Amino acid sequence: MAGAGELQRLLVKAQNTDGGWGYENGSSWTEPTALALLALSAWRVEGSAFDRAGDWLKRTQRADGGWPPAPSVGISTWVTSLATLALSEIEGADDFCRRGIQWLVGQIKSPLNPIECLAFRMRGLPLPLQPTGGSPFFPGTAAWVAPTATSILSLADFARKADQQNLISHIKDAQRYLVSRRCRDGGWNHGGSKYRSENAGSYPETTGLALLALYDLPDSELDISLKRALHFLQFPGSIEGLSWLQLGLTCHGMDVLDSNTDLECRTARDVSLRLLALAAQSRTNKFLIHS
Amino acid sequence: MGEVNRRYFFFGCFGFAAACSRSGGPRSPRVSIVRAKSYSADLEDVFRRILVEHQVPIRGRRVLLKPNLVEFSSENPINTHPLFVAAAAEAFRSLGAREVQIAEGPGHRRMTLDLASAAGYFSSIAGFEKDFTDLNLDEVKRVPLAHPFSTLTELYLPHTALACDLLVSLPKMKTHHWTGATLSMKNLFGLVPGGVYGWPKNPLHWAGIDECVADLYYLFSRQFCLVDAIEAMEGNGPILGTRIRPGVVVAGRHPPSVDATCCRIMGIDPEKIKYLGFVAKRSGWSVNSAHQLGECIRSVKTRFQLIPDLDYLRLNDAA
Repeated sequence: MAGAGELQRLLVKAQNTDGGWGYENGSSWTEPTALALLALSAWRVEGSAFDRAGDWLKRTQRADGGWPPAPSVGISTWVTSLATLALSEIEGADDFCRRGIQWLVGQIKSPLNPIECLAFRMRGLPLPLQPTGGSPFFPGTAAWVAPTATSILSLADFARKADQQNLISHIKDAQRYLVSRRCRDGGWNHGGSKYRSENAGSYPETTGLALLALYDLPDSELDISLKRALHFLQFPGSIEGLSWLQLGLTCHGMDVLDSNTDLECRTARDVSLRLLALAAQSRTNKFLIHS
Repeated sequence: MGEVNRRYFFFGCFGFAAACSRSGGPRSPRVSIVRAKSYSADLEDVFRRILVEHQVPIRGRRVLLKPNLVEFSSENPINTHPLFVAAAAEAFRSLGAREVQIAEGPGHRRMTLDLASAAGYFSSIAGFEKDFTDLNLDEVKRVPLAHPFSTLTELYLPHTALACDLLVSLPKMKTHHWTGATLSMKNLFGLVPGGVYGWPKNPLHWAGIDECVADLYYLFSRQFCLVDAIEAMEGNGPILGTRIRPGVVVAGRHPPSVDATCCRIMGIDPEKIKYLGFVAKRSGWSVNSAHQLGECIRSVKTRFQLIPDLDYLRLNDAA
């Protein structure tokens, strides 16, 4: 597997002329751009690439305060959490972040309204019993593990930097949501209802990401989850799985030295996640820099 | 009418006319059922014969194969078998396709190529990485839905899927704990990009799963379907079910007829599958209208286990 220096060179080389990154070789998308900016920041690769990435994110924020997955898409989605987190690394981007956070708070799931309850009943589905407080991938739809976890990371980062204590209750609600979606095996999958899927197994990547978002829960409450994550670490299946596991376990004080692996970085997003995980082992966990 | 709409209208008419001209009437699309006991059978030859028999226009076309790739597994019958996909690719190439691409956008897991590797696609399909597109991360274009069944008014769809000349749905025959069965039409959920809609593609659930299946069928009606029912999944599909071996390939140009035939093989009443009902209501097509080629349904019928909540879908054995 490539080392951090080579990965940094690869990442900078993959930057599009507009300042953003695509997932593979295509046009710029918000998620890989935000993760690339975080990765460059973690390794202090500042300068032109870093500045142009920040400018790209500033340019693509929508009037509602959120970010679209790509400029060609006319709606803000969950990637707003990553864009806000990344822009918090940039001097003078406070207003962009503040508007992004407002958008994220607006997406947090509150109890079902009567129309939503009716929609569940008409489809013959049981009303969800899990706590609210999670975040959706797409506005107006159900909450899931990954967007809830990245929303927690973004809200927590902003709360610390901008001293916004009013966000703490949202963070705690979201963490309760995550705990409620834990699989029987102790890890997390995408976070589907247990209705008709009570035996569904967890995934490495969402287990690592959820552990990262549950950064301040005592290990005694996460014992089974940490064990599951350590087990997954032996066979993470992908760079994404390996990286989120390492980020999640590192923030709970676990020693997860990088192991030799044949896993490949297949996208710019993979390269960024790899760099963030390597930085968490040797320098700083970018998602928890101020904790 | 926008460019995409005109294009789909044209191809839709073409497909409909072609189906009518070859079956003697608009209400009898042809569906082939071919026995194949295992993946070591000469599937390329099986597929070539099917494609010739159905007079599928292939020469010079850009063909997009859309398997069902869901989970990290080469053992459980969750994904379309890699040898099935490899044989389909070779069959289309040998019949003169200008280009054969493979594409999929899994609904739960994001690392599509790692998933494909674990499912055996890299080792079984020559040049897989070069020919494969992750539809979750492809460039997208907004497509309005003119007369949707669902509450959606538009969909962002991947360029690769919109640009092909012939979409070939290669689903795994599986039960589905929400829709009853996941076959060639439900397989089109994989065309919807997770990069826009998330993992899972939850806006499709909120807009109505069955309704969205029907909407996607009308958006991509110029299809050919090759259903992998050599090994299939019964019980709590599409992920947590168990293996069953119908030992057949089901194929045709008219996805609703292919799916209705599959349902009968599975012991599921196609009249009770909602998305088939939507197509029937709009087009006048009947779930009983398919003209069967090859094996008769009775000879290959394999009663699939259903979860208790879906027992009402069971086909009366006398049917």
